[in-house]
Amino acid sequence: MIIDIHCHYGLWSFAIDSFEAEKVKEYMDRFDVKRAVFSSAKGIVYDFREGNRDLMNFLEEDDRFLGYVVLNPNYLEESIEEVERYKENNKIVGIKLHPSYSRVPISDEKTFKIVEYFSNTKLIYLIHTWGVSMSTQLARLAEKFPDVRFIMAHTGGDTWSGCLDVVRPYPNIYVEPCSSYADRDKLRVSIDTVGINRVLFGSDFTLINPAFVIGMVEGGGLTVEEKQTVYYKNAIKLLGGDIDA
Amino acid sequence: MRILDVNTAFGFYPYRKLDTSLETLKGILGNYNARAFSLSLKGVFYDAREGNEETLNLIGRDNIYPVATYDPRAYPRDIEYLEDLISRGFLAIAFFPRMQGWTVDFAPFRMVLDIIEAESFPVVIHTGGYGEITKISILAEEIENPVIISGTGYSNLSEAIAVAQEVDNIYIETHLLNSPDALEFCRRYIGIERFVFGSGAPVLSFETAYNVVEKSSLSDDDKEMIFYKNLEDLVGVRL
Repeated sequence: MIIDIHCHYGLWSFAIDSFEAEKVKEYMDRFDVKRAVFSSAKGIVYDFREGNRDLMNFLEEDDRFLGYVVLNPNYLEESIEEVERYKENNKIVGIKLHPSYSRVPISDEKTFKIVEYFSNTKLIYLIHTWGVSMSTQLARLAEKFPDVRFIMAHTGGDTWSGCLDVVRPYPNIYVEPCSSYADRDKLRVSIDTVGINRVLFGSDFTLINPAFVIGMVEGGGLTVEEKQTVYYKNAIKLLGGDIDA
Repeated sequence: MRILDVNTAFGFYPYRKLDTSLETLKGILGNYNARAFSLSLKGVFYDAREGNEETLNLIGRDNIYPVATYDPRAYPRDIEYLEDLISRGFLAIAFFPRMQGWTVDFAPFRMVLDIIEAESFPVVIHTGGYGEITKISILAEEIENPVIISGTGYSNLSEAIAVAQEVDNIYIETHLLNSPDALEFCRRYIGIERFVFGSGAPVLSFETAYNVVEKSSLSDDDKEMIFYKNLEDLVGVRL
């Protein structure tokens, strides 16, 4: 069983066909994914509000679908309105921020204002990270808001080893490993650096094949208990939902 | 299922602390009863000639087959080494423009291709970035060798499909085919006979590369072609 905390809904600007709900369900069946948390691809690369509207319709297609509201901090007031609009939807578990596509650094005061505004909620933040600089900015954000939970998407990307060291002191930062390159040791080193309870399964589906990260887990030298913890146990605790194991 | 992996390496890995020894590679391959083409990382990161010698010295012919390399940044040093590679036991030659920082329209690389064209073995090019595969296709049209492109992922899959549709001796190695339906998508547009299995082990996860093919919706016959038959056809022998 898998709970995938990093998925996308919608068309990508690449040669990929598997984005419709029926295809998504087929993949979830194939890889035994019991819950998947989606954010809108359109919302990330283009118009976040239009993307979020599409996502809300998509989430109704299957009980296994959960969602993040995509925000664009360039539109601060509209971003806050967007969360207010959807935060009571029981399928919404958090907020997705992509500092590369929006070109708003994690360190920008607008990002801090968004987190501060919703800091008394249970919303989880899935934040794209690539490189030590972005990881350091995330660490500052997590330090400022110790009660807010952040998921470090990609674990900083191709320099993930150094990025893990940066976020290790912050227990409210969780890491997930997906990336275009399936480094053999990424899961093992992640667990050894930040602890087993802070490593989540995220695939970047529908951009990336879930088989990628599953292979990293299966071939990463993890014990059976560690695999189960990464595949779903940590996510159950984080999401707080009633999910049958 | 038999497996023949065109993309493995061994030696010292400088980018982070990681066991990439030949013994580790053999262990990974052994878990799947797989065979592989391989080369010493010394030839990629340091010196091609020293690396090639290490490859020949360390690799037995039982289930791992030697691949040569050359770094065009060193041209014309040791260029004579590229003659008679087959007679010395190499089954292919691999180039690493992305890791070494050169582009495939680099003039010394054209000189190298002119020399190795006399050898009929596969040429593996590890590349990335928009436009590089297009440049490879222009070079591939000028030679007879099978040209295997390693480094095709979701972002440049369209480019790989386009060049494979136009240039018959272009083949695609699978380790970075990371979009969910990449293989099914490509089968529709260019045919499964244009793919060869590669993993990037032991730096990258062999299990991931295996999963991508094995967990796809392709038929068992298609999977066999990718896992070993296509590459055996390219080298012209049953390994």
